[in-house]
Amino acid sequence: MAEAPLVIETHQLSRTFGGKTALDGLTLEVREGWFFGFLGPNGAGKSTTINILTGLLAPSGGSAKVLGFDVETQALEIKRRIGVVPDGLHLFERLSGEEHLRFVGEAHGLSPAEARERAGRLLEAMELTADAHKLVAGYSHGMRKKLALSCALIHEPRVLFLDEPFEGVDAVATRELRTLLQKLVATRRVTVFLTSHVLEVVERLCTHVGIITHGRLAACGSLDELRQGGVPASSGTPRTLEELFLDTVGAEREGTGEALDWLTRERDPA
Amino acid sequence: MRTLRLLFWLRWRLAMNATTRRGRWAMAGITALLALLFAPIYLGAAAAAGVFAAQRGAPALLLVFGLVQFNILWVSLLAGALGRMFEMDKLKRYPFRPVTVFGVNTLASLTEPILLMTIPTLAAAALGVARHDGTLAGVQAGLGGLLLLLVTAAALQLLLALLDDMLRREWMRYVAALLFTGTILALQVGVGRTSKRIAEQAGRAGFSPETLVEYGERILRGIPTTAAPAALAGAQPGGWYGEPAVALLVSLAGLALPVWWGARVMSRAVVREALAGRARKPGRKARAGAFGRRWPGLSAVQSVLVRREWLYLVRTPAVLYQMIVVPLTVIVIAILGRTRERGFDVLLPAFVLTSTLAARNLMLWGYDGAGIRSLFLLPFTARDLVVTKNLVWLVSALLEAGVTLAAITLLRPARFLPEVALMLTGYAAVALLAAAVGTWVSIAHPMKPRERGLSRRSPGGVVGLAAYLAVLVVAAALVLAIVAVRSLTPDRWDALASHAVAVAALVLAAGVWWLAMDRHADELERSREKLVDVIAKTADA
Repeated sequence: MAEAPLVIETHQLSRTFGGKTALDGLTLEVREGWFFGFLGPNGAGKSTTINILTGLLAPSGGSAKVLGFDVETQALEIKRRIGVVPDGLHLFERLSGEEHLRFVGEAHGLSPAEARERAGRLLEAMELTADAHKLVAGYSHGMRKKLALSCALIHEPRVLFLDEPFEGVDAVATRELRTLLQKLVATRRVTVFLTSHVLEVVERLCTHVGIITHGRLAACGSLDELRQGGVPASSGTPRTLEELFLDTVGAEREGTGEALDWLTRERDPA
Repeated sequence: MRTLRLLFWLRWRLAMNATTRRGRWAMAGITALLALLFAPIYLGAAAAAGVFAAQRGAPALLLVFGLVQFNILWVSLLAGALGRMFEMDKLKRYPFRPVTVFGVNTLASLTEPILLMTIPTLAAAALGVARHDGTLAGVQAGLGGLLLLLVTAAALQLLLALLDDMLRREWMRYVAALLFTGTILALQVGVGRTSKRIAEQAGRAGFSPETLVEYGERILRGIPTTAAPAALAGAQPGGWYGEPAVALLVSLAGLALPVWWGARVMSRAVVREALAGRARKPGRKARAGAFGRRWPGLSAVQSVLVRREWLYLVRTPAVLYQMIVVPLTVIVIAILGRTRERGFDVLLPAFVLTSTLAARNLMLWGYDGAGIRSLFLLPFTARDLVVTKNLVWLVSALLEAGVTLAAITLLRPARFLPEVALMLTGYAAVALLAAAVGTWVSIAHPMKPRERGLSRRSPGGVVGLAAYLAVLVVAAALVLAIVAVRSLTPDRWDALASHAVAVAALVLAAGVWWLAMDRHADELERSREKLVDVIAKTADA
C-alpha cells in the first residue's frame, strides 16, 4: 500500500529567543490522516513548533512545510487550509460568538449564507446557542475553548493544529469533541496535530506520537511501535504512554524528596 | 509590617521588571519636567499658606487644611484616578487580609503626585504658625498636617473603591467619565459666562476676602475630616472639636472607618460577575446578510475586515470616549472664544482636533487585544490588514472632525462658515499623514492600552512623542503655507489660494499615505511577533 502523502515536514528547524534555544534542529514528518500527538515537558518547544507551522513565528533556521507549502514564503496558503486552536486562545473579545464564527468563515472564503449556516450549527453542537450574542469577553474558559474549536473547524481544514484543546472543557463536551475529531480523521482524512499534557487523552486518540525535549525530537513513530520499543521480547507487555514519556524525557529526577524535605517528612505531632 | 514590606517589594519588582533602564530615566525626566511645570501652582499655594499662617497663627490652619483636602479629592476624582497600587483581584488568592491590603493602599497613596504636591503648602503653613506662635506650635501644626494627609488619603481611597465598585463594567466607567467631563465642560461654560457678573454682585453685596475666609471657615468647622485634624494641629475650630479627645477620636475614626469600609467594598467587588456585556442581537436583515457589507472598491475579505474594525471601534469605550470628548471640548472652546481675531478663533479648534488626532493614531493595533493573534492566524495579507485598519481609522477621524465642524459652524456661523471647507480639507490632509505616521509607530513600537482606570498610556515612548510632534509640525507647516500664500496674493484671491494650498496638501498626503501602505505591510510582516507579544498579553502587571 502506498504511503499517505506528507502533510507536515520540518528539516533541522530551529528557533531562538534572544539567545535561548527553543527549537534545536527539529526534523519531523507527519502524514495525511495521522492523529499526531506532540508531547514534551513544559518549555520543550511544542507551542513554538505550532507557532512556526501556523505562520505566526519565523524560524531562525532550517525549513518547514505544511501541505507542501513553505511556512516562510507561503504562509497565506497554509492559513487557508488549516484550523488552529492556539494556546491562550486569543479570540476577538469584542465580537459576539456568532459574529466571531461568521467573521472567521467569511475570512476563509465561505459565502455569507454558508458561513452563517455553519456558524449556527457549530454553536448548536457546542451548546453555545444561548450565548451566541454575548461578547466573547464575557465567555468562560470552557466556552472560549469551544468557540476556538468551532473557528478551527468552520472552513473544513485539511490540517488541525490543536494546542491543549481539551483543557478547561467539561467531560461531556470533551467526549463529543473526541468523537468528532476521530470521525474527521477517519472519514475526511484530516490530519490532527495535537499537544496535550494529559497522556491518557493522547493515548486514547493518537495514532502517532512525537516526543520533544529541549527543542529536539527524542522519539517519533506510531504509538504501538513506540510502546513496544525498548521492551524485551520476553516481557511481552508494552509500555504505557506515561512510561514511554518518562523514559524518553528522563523525568525521574533525583533528589526532589531531599530538596523539599519540609514537605516530605512526617508531620510533627506536637 | 511584614505584609507592608512584601507588598511594596512586589510593587517595586513589578515596576522594575516592566521598564527598561532607559525607560526609567525617561520617566524620571518627565516627572521632573512635570514637577517644574506645576511648580508655580504648588509653590505659589505654599507661599500663600505660609504668609496667611504667619499673619493669623494656628487658626489659619483650618482654611489651609480645608483647601488642601478639597484640592486632593477634587483633582484625584477629576483625573479619574480609579487605579490602585495593589489590586485586590490579584491578591485575593494569597493570605492577605483585605483590611491590610486596603490599609497599605492608603499609605501607598501618600506617594501620589497630587498628595506630594500639597506637602509644601502644609510645611509652609507649619512654618508660618511657628513664626507666629512658636516652634512647638509649628511642630504641632506639621504633625496635624500629616494626620490630615492620612485622613484625606483614607477618604479618597474609600471614594475610589465605591466608584470602582459602581463602575466595574467597562462601559459604565467611560459613561461616567463622559458625564463627569460633560459636567466640567458645562461648568466651564456656565462659570465662564457668569463669573464676572457674580463677582460684581458679590462686591455690591459686601463680600470681601475677609468675609469669604470667615464664610469658608464656618463651613469647614462642620466637616469632621478637616476640622478634627485641624483641631489637633492647634487651629481651635471651636464647637465639638474644641475638645482634643473628641478631635483625636474623630481623626482616628476618619482613618479606621474608610479603611474598614473600603476593604469590605473591595473584597465584595472582586467576586462580582464578568465585566463584558452583550452584542446587539442582529435583526432579520442582518442575520440574512454577510458579516460585512461589501463596499465598492474593496474585496470581500477587505469588507469583512472593515466590518470587524468598525465593530471594534464602536465597542471599545476608551476609543469612543476620546471620539466624543474631543468634539465636546472643541465646541466649548468655540462657544467661549471671545477673541476678535478670526484666525485665532479658527486655529484653536483646529489645534485641538489635530493634537488629539496625532495621539489617537499611535494606538492603531493596541485595542485589538488578544484577538490580534487570531487576526494573524487567519488568511489575510498584511496589506489587507493595514489598509482596512487605516480606512476605518480615517473614516472615524473624518467623522469626528465633520461632526465637530458642523456643530461649531451651526453655533457660530459668522465665524466658522467661511473657513469650514478649508478646515476640513486641511484636516483630511493632516489625518492622512497622521495615519501613515501612526501606522508605522503602532506596528514598530506597539503598546497595549491600560485595562483598569481611565489613565491612558502614552504610546510608543520617545518614538511616539517624536511622531506626535511630527504630525503637529506638519499641521503647523500647512497653516504657515496657507498664511504665506495669502500674504503673497491679492486679498480677493485669499480664499481661492488657501483652498488651492489645502487641496495640494491633501493630494500630496493621499499619495504619501497610499505609497506608505506597502512599506507598512512589510513592517507588519516583520513585527508580527512583537505585536503579538506586546498586545496579546492577558493583563496589566
